Order: sequence, then C-alpha cells, then structure tokens
Amino acid sequence: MYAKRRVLDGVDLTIRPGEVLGLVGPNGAGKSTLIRILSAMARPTEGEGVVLGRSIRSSSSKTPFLGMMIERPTFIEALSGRSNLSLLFGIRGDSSSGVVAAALTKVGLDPEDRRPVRTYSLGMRQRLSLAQAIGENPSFLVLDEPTNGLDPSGIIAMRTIIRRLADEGMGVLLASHLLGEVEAVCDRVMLLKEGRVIRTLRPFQDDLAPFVLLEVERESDLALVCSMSGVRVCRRLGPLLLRLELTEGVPATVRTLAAAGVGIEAVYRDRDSLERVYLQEVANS
Amino acid sequence: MSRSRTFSLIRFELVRVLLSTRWLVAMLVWLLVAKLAARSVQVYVYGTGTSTWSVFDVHAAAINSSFNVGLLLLTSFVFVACDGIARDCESRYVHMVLPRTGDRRSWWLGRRDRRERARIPIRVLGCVCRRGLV
Repeated sequence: MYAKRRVLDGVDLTIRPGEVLGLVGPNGAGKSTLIRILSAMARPTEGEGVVLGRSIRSSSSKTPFLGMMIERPTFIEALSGRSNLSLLFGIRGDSSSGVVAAALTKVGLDPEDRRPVRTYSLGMRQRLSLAQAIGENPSFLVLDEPTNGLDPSGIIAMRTIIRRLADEGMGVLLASHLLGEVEAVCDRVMLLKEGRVIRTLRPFQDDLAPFVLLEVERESDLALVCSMSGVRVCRRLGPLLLRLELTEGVPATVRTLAAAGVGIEAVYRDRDSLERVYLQEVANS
Repeated sequence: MSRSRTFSLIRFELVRVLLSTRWLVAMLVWLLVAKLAARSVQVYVYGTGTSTWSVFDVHAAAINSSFNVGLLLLTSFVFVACDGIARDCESRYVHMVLPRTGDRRSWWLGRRDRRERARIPIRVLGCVCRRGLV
C-alpha cells in the first residue's frame, strides 16, 4: 500500500525454473512495485512470498540473489564495461576475468573493449546491464523493459538470449510494454490492471483464440461464404480476404467450403494477438 | 554476509564514489577544511612551544571553528550524504547491488562506510603536518 492506496491486491504467482513469465499492464498497474517486492527492494504491507527460498516478508532482512536488469541502467561512467562487471561480480566474490569475459561475450559485447561506459550507446548499455544480470548464473532473472533502446537485431538477439537462458533452467520475469516481444518470448503472460491480475494466458497453448484467414478466387465466393450456415465470418480484411472463426479444425473448415463450391485461393491458420487481447481485457475491466 | 563480500562491497562503493564528480568536489572542500584546521594547530604549536600533538588535534581544530563545521556539514551531509540513497535508487544502483549483498544490513553498512571517508583527508593532512613539525 502507498498512501492508503492498494498498489497490488491479491496477486498470486509462481514462476517455475525454465519458465518465462510476462508481466503486462498499463502504466500504474503495479508491475514495477511487484518487481520491487520480488527483488526485496520494497516490503509488502501484507501477504506472503518466497523467492529462491528466501521470504519476502517485511520482517526478513535477507535478500534473494537474482539477476536484475532494469530500465535505464547506470554504471560507473569512467570505467569500462569489463571493469564495471568485475567490481559488481566482486561483491559476491567471483570477479575472475573468465567469468566477466564470458558474461560480456554472451550478450554480444567485446570483452577486450576498454572504452569507458560513458562512450557506450543505449543498446550497449542495455547489453551490459543484461551481462551484469546473467553473469553470475542466478536461478531467477528479472527483466524490466529489456529491449528498450535496442535496434531490431539487438531485439532479436535479446529474445534469443532470454529463450536460451530459460531453456537452461533459469526462471525469468519479463515486464514490457512491447506486446509483440512478450508474446514471442513468454510461456505465460499475466495482465495486470490497477494492482490486480485480470487474466493469465499462455500464448503458445491456444489461449489466444485461433482463426482462419481465407483468400477466395472471386468476388462471388465472398457472398457464398457469408451465406453459409456452418461458417462464421468475423471480418472482411481485404478485397478477397476474410477472417473466419475456427469452430472446427482447419481441414474440416476447408472441406466444408470446398463442398459448398467456394473457390479457395489460400488458407492460413493464425491466432489472436496479445495486443488484441490486451486491449479487449484492459478496456473491459 | 562474509567478510570478503563486505570488503568487496566497500571497494565497489569506494571506486564508485571516488569516480563521481560530486565527491571530487567534496574532497577538495574537505582538504581545504583540513588545511585550515592544521594551520590553526600549527599556530598553536609554534606559539606555545608544544612538542606533542596528534592527528586528532586537527580533528578537534576542525570542529572548533563554526566556519569549518559549516563547510563540513554542508559538503559531507547536504552535498554528499543526504540524497545518496535517493540518488542510488534513482540511478538503479541499488537494484544491482542489493541482491548481491544478500542482506539489507550489509548494504546499509557499506553505505555508512561512505560517510566515514570524509575523515580521510583530515587525517592524512594531519599526519603530513605533524611529520613536518616534529
């Protein structure tokens, strides 16, 4: 609670090793507060939680060791990325040059680069921030807007790194406003609004409704499809392109259309985007 | 938290602090205060013919003058220490350092050490002056 206002209310979440959980919500939804609580930066006024075996209750002074990559990271500007990592890793006692070089290499930075951090671009800082988060192989990683400021190839590289880390067994909490990125990389997505979880969905497991894009040969086919009782047309997307609701499997839908004499140019199976679900859910709630 | 981890945290804080512009300015002011304090001790030592004095005389002389105290307070507390935590949170250092300490108390200890460093220039200059006099 902040100033008698509930910032988070009834949030219940478990992140398993190897899972990437996305946290999505409008500004002020409570994402940052949740991250702060999980990483022991803030104490909850009530509730219970365990992060890597350590309680996050207010009475505990112990903090869990987790990798944190936060938005707009700051480093010692006069030192190189390598020296920064060496100092940071030294706190836990493993600042050997091999560990530092491995962390930098993993995120695509040159370990031999001796330039001070003040000369780094925003993308390089983001990579350095990721290197400091993953360099000591934490079991749990918290990423807050990790693709902020990255170029397209950097975004793809970041996505690959996150997936690889999850495949290696690291639990990842990813907060981002880039819904496409969240959808592409997360196993589970949690929609937050006004401190409450309004929906949790699994993008890879058809929690996003599947549909069929149908391209017909002629204009007359459109009218034919729209008049069919077994097919439900959601929207017309182009001159000869329709979006159909997938009530049965794609082969069955195609058979039904073909049997009715519809000239089929192409059929694509797709699913709802997280963006559409997000807008729907946030607006509805 | 192990002893080596505490030292590493202090080392990290030390490097970070010494490479920040604010602290360099503060250090210069503290050196000035130490110089003024050492000067007053020197005057006293020559004037009274006292042969034994220590670094702590410089400390005492530094806080005996309201001007020096004002400067020390202004630079040590207002300029350097008072918004230190706010700045750390704002600059997100705390997010990188606190999980590594494993303990909130150790983090506070590391931060307290920063204020202790305000005494270093006074002690160093006191030692230099004493050596030159005795």
